[in-house]
Amino acid sequence: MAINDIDWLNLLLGSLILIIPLLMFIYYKTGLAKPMVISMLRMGVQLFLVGFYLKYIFEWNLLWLNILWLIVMLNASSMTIYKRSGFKVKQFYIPILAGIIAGVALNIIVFDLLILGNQNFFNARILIPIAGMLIGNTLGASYLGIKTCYSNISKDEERYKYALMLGANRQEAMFPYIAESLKLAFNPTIITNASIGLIWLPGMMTGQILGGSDPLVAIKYQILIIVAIFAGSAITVLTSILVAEKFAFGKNDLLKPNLFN
Amino acid sequence: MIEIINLELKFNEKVIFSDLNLKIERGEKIGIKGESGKGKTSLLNLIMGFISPNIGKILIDKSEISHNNIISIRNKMAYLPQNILLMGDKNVLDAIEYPFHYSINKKNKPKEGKIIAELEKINLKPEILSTSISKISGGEKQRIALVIAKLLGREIFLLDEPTSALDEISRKSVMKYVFESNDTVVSVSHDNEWLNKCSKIINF
Repeated sequence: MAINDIDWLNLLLGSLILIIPLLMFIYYKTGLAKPMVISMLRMGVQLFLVGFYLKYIFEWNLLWLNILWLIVMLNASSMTIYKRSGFKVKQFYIPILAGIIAGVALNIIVFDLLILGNQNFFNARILIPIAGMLIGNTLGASYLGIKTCYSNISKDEERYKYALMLGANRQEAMFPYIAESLKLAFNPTIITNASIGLIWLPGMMTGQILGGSDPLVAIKYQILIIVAIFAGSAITVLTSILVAEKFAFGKNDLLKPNLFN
Repeated sequence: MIEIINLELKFNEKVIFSDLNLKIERGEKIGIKGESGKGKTSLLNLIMGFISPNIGKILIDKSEISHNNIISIRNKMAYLPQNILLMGDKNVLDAIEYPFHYSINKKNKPKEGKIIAELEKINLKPEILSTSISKISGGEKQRIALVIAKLLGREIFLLDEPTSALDEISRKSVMKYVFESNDTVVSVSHDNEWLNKCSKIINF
């Protein structure tokens, strides 16, 4: 089954439904209107650029270029989280990047060993869309995890200090904050995953079915993708929080005073 | 023993206090009073090593507070902030046992009998152990926090406004418990009855 192309005018008309959330955000003075418009424009421009770029990158399929593109993706995602999370300390970029690399590395192993058979993971047609999908799906949890953990310690400094005074070492004093940030980062995904199949069909599976694949094959792919994204996100979040611990605290075991904007 | 030598503290170039000298012997009860913003709570934070002085030093049992000994120094102290916090999210027994999950305290986990004996010294009934933390009063929290510090074997008690949120019964129990102990107490307070019981009062 061939997929119908979308007419340019229809693409534009379809995008007009964004006026609804835009008006909501303006009416309730959420401050989200401008970032939403910017993020949507960025999304559109970036996807078009990538579309053109991918056309060539797939044609050339050079290992070094594919890996360079992976590095660009890792850097862009870490910068996005770093900037959005409001950390003032520049070193915070490192734990965020380390977290994403750890999550992606795990997934590369799973994909390479279990899913792709004898296909090379570093083939452009495989590496770029899959790495992009994994990284993209990790962003939300990664942002929520690291941001929640450290801003809660900052807001709740008396409790954190009290734990230290009761004999906790830094990691033990951080324990409840890590638990809280994991809950916040993963509760939505757990709820969403429980509804997959009954309420919605994920993008990749929908794409495969629209492209004419056997639904049973599409399901197997989809299960492994969801599992990989979930495990990868969990590793990303915990790695970034634990690596950030090395940069976030001063000699007195308290958070550095200039940590947030 | 706590020795405070030539201490000066500044925030954003503003001198909060300077030339502070104080020797606190083991078992002494010190009361600190003064208007807000004069650095009373900051002095407690300096003693706990959460902030560093701009000039001067603090010795705890003859050793100066530094990054290397901060853990052993903090483990001699109990800190009760103005708004008392209890760890854990279940009942009072859980809150009392919570700090004994920390690696440094694990081997000292008290038996229930010892906990009950300590609770009774401060006029709390054993039934409180099964009460949810969310259902106990501020005064009970304060007394439980003191019991936790005592069970941890702390010798230096740093108390920030220990009686400000207490009803009369709790206040009397806390005063009796604190002033009849052999522990060293450094307290920030506006409560005249409390201050009168202190062996030394420092005006900020």
